[in-house]
Amino acid sequence: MKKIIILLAILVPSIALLYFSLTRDPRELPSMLVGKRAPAFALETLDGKKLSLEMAHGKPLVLNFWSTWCEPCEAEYALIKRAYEALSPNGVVFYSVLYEDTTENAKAFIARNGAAAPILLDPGLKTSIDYGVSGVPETFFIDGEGTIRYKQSGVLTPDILTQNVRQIAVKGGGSQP
Amino acid sequence: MKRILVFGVFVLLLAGLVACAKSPAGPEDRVKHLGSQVRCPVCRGVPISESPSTLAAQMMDVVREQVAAGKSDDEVLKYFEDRYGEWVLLQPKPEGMNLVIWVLPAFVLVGGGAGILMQLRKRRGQSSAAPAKGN
Repeated sequence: MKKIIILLAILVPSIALLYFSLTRDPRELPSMLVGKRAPAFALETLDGKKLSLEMAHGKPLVLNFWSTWCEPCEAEYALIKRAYEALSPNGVVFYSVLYEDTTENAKAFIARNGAAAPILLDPGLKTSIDYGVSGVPETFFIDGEGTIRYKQSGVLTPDILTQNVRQIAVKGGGSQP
Repeated sequence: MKRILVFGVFVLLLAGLVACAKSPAGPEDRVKHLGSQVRCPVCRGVPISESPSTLAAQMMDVVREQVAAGKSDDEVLKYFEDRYGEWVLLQPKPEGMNLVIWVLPAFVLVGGGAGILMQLRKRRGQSSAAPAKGN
């Protein structure tokens, strides 16, 4: 009996620990970058223009990582497009970084869904890795001082988007949306 | 007790030898060694050095670039930890609660070895005492 109790005392916590660690999604962990300065980048757009973090300085920036092969991103695109059209005249900057995808796919996607925020190419996934991106969609809300205020892993909802744009607009540049 | 201490020292020496044998030689060995310590974010428990995913391959390129730029092992690992969090390191850092993970195996090994030795000694004592009783 004593042996069974000892065995259970070892086995039960071990199995519980294993179950806990295997069922946790790392993408749900809070980002290490929130509250820190956003990593600098200078990337080319689909039409060959160069855009950088520096160019958005002083304005709230919504930095979205997405792919054409990601179904949730397609649903999210409509929301971002609407937000871009409504908020960019108020000084909110939107960049969409293409993750693990091709220029051709992005051009075809825009032809189907209409153009919205500038699409930035990320060769070698350097910027994606610099932002700790491990899947798409992921969105970073960066204030006018260049500090990351929030990271959304997974699809944005209108509430999450509005609430965080409001927060970054208050914390640095951009008129209240 | 003396035997237990000798056993403990032997285990520690063996662990030291294994660690020395694993030390990387050239830059590419160092890249692979560092890559084996970084978890692939899109896989389950696989290091970026072994993952076939595009993200892992690009992360290996980042390791390669940082090694070429003269960054130390700690700096390279910190780069990934600062972005993905501590879970990205396959070997948790030996500090805070993580110390339990580092100390527990050695404790179990030495404790288990000591337990086996004590059991063996007990049995030997019993078997040598038994014929004496019979005679």
